[in-house]
Amino acid sequence: MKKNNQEQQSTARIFISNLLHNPSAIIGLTIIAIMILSAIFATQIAGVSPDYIDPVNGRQGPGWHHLMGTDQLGRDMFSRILSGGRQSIYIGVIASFLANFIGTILGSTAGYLGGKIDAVVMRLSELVMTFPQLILVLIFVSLLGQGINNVIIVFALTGWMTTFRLVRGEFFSLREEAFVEADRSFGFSKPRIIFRHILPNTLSPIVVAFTINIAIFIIAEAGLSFLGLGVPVTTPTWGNLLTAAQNPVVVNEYWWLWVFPALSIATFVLGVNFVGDGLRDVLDPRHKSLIAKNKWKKMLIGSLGRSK
Amino acid sequence: MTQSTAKDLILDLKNVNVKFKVEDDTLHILRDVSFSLPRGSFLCVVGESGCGKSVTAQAIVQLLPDNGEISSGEIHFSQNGQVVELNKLEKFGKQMRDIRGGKIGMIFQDTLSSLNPAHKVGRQVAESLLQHLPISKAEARTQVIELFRKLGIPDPERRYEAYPHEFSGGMRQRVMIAIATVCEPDLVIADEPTTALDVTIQAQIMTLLKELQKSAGKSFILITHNMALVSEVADHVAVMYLGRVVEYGTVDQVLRDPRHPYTKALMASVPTLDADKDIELQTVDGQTPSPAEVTIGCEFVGRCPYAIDVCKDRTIEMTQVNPGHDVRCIRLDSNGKLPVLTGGAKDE
Repeated sequence: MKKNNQEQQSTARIFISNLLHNPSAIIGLTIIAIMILSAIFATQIAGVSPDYIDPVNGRQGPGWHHLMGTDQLGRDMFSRILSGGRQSIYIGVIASFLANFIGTILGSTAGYLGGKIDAVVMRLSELVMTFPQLILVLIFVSLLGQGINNVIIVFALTGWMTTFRLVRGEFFSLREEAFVEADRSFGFSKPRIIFRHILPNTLSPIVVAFTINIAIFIIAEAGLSFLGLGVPVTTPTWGNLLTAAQNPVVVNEYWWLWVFPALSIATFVLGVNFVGDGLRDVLDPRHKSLIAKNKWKKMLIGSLGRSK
Repeated sequence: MTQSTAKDLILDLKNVNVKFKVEDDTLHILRDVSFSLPRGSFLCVVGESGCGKSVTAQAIVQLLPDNGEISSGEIHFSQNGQVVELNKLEKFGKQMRDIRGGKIGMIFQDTLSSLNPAHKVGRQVAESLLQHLPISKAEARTQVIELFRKLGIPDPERRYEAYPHEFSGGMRQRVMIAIATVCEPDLVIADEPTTALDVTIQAQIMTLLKELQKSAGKSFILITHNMALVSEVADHVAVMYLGRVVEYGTVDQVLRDPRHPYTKALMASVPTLDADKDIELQTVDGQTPSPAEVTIGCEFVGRCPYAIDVCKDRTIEMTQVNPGHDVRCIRLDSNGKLPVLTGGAKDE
């Protein structure tokens, strides 16, 4: 009876169970969850609105009253960093989603059909890749103007190639599989074979690419905003907060104005990478069973035994 | 052939030639393949590996690999009382896709890789149904579960939700049969469906296919190289050698009274339990020649004990030895018998 239950467990449930027993995934998920929650409840946690100006208390160091100090206008840095996460995470996730979406659609179509379509899309991706990305972004931003949504569009248009190549490669090998031949013999249409039948088999690399892209885009947003090309300065994002470090005086005298935003970017990106690493382990076919779970358990029990 | 007899045929192949482009070479894989299949009968296509059995199946459903094409010939398929010429239809057009899966079902050899590992098996069967018939998902589910039960899949409600890797080889083959037959096709093409299975499961699967033929009146084409299997299930047999049908007839005609030297050699090489164990088992000597070698005469000439010089020089046509029994050999005498083999036959 017990065996039956195990058999009935869906792959999704096994996947989640494996993920929750993967140490790096747990660490990463915890970091991400805490940072997202604190970004949502920034004002409540910090107790001060990120936009509350208090010039008298400008440029105060970290202390009990202001955990991460205040900027030149006396705004609470803790509150600003927490709420800055809203925009940065939003940009990272949405841009990564869009870039992956474009990459997946193009990659699966080109990979399955091959031939001329594949050659054209492949050259296009090479074109975008060989062009220095920063310059491309500069051109796009100057065309579209600043703004969160424009930044997202720019990232999606310049960042789809990795996913595209990944998915295309997967399709090249999967389209030769016997089940695809069988699908054809059942009279399924090409779009149905591509998106309903082959695509689910390439989900694992896509999910991993998605997490890695989030990290890349959050860093890219910081870089763009640092150069004053990203999100308008009035909106606090981690990148915008970092722009304070453009001033040498700030770098030397008011370290809390740039160290904390930089640390939050580093922590979040680290968290995302941890999740990506964990996903890569869990989605690896060799880990499909519950091996990872037992290994982790043994490790824990082993170390506890030793410490006694 | 008159129109009325043509209508009783579910499938009729006329001089089908298939060529494959491999780098700079063109390989002539099927050469003038002709055979017809009466409605409701069970045809076995036998022959060595590489003789074009699977390519014939692929040609019928227009799913040849990208580098292959039907260079000439006609494939007639009778559908709802109308005869369609399959090779004239657009490969991935609506009409051809409706026939594939809807009118012609396919069963493959490798059951694990022929099922999509990412989808539940029930859904895979139901999808075929939804593709070809205007029914709701719930109806499709009930039908699939009913079919699973009919095909002997235990606990069908629960197995509906399982993934292919949770099935054994025999059960997976039953699922494949379910997919191939769920839309009630008129013709089912099974490409070595039992090669990967052990003998007991093989027997179960074959019984299942035979039952489907008898109860539902479906026509079957079974591609195999297992002669024992052929003798059990087939009504008609087509023996293929290097892209040609060398002998065609009913199972009794071909297996009990083989006329072509190749069929004779094949039959002689089937081991039997009551055979004298001191006598060495006969084999067909030599290798199948490469299809790249262009030959005019009989392809079997290099391995044939009856071969004479004339065999190499001209194209050999099918000749009728008995009603419905055709053989491609010029060494048959007026009674359709091969000459008695003496020690010096090769020197002739």
